[in-house]
Amino acid sequence: MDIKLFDSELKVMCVLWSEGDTTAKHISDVLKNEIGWNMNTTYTLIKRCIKKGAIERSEPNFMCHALIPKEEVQEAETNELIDKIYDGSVDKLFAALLGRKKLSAEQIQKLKQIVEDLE
Amino acid sequence: MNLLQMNLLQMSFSGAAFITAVVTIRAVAINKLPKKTFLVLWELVILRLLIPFSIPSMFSIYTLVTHSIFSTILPGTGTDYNIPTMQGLFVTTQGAEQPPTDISSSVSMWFIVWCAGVILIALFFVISYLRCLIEFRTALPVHNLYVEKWLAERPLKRPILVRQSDRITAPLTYGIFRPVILMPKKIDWNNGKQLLYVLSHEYVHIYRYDTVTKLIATLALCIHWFNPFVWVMYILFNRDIELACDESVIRQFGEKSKSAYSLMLINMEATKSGLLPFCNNFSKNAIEERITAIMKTKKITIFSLVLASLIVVGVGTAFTTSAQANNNNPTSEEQEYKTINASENASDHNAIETSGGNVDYGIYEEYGLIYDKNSKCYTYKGNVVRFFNDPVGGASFTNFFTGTVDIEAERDTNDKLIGIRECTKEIYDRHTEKYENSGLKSMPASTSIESGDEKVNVDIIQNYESYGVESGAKTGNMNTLQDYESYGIAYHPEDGHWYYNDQIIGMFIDSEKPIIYFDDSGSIYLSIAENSENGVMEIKEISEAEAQKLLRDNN
Repeated sequence: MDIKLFDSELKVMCVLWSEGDTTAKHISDVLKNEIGWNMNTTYTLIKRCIKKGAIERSEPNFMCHALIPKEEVQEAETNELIDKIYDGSVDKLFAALLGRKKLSAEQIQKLKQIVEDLE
Repeated sequence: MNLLQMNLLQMSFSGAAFITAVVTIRAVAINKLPKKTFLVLWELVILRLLIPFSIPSMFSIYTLVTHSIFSTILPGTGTDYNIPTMQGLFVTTQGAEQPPTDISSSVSMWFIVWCAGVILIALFFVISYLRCLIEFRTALPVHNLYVEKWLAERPLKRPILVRQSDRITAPLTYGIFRPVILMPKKIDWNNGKQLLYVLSHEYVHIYRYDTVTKLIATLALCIHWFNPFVWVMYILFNRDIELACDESVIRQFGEKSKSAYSLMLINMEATKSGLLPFCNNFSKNAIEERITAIMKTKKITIFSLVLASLIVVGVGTAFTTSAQANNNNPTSEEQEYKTINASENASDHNAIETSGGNVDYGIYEEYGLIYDKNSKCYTYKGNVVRFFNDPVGGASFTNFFTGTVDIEAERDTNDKLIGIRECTKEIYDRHTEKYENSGLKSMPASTSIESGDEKVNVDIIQNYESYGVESGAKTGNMNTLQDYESYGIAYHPEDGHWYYNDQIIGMFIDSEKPIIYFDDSGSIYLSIAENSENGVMEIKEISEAEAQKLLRDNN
């Protein structure tokens, strides 16, 4: 995925993913309750998402449609996490996920096997 | 001279001197004095830059300057710090030399450039602030037990919010009434000590309303954008706000926290680079200064406190007050008198047509200056007085319309009033010549006195046809300002006063023509002048101080 969304923009996307296509007004209401953003802030973010190609706008009523699925963003975010924090190695992430205990060489080998199988 | 320009340049000039002093003290004693000292000094500098008037004081640095350069008077430097007291005194420009016209065109040019600068700089700050604000508002809430606990422990009248953003790299605070502490998303949310330092630092900012002070400093910068000293002040002031804030946090957590706090700052700063590309080098310098300042923080001793207060009081008094116009000293007053009329002959004060509203002319009665109720004029030995001057007593008036004799007060070497003498023929002729050359001949002057009132009014008004010899002051008043009726002033025949916005006009000054109208019962001061931008004549309400300044500048 080429689109880089910031946390606040992801919040807007989350509303679209969970509620399906909806109006900008509705997104704004939901986020006002949830985070306390005022309408202008939410609309600014929706417009940014439209500009980045993450949301498609249609009339009437400023209907918003998510152009990218949640899974794609999740994958992209995970990849970024692995690249940035775990030097691009999935096993390190695995190790971290398995609760900060050091894994034995054997276990690591096993995990690597799983990853290779999946690729 | 253009009033605004003179005032602004004066303020900027004295501000620059003040800034130089503070920068020097800062360079010498930054780690020896409580950091709050510099904050107070900078705040005084900002006040000096923003408030157009100042209290005269004999301790002022400008008293010294004025005295030392009095022999080689430079109008616009030394003398401009002398603001004489009002005392209902007014002065017109009869015979005073008008500045050449090319000066006024350069003045308006200067004004346009200055305005453009102010607007540009202000726009720059407003736009950057709004852009940041839009960004900051998209921040997400923080769900962190530690932060929530910390907030609960600090009940402030203004609710504080803590939010996080992945768009910033260093913690910051924004908002005045509903302050928000914004944390970078990447901060270590489990490092309680670091969180505590960061939050406490921002809390001090909120508690001290640093956002407001910064805003006022920015205002001063916008107005004085042409003054490099003010830019230095702005940068150093912003640094000193941080230094004072650090100091207060260190005091709160004890000296042992110094190293941990410094390390926290260095951590934050390491991720910050590239945020402000245009002052990168500078901020490197600043962070060094900041860490050094933190590591050198000492306990406040009585000595440092006393020293700090002495510096603040001393430097503050020296630079925020203006030179004292010493009224008790007649020679100084006379010197001032001469300075105003720098082009005039030293012994010749007749260019000024004044009437002190508070001057008691009764003291001259025993020497022959008699007020004649019928003609409403002063007489001397049976002749109507044309010119009277007593510089020491601050009393002088002219009546070129009906007057025939010129007199002046006689004083001995101790300035004690000993009599009144007629001016020599030579001086009399010079007065006549001046009057004729002044272009005022077509404008009859009058001295009129409100019935039962000791105060003297001098009206020099164009088209003053029904001169109040027989009709008295009240009918006389009616015609005085009729040329200006189109500017929204109106005459009320029932009480005989001129009104503007339902208020009696106390003083009306037209700087283009030497016209001054004065009414004792009035409460507002008006001036009429050409708007330097569109060339349209505009009437405006001014303060007493401005009126006073205008009257003086009219010379």
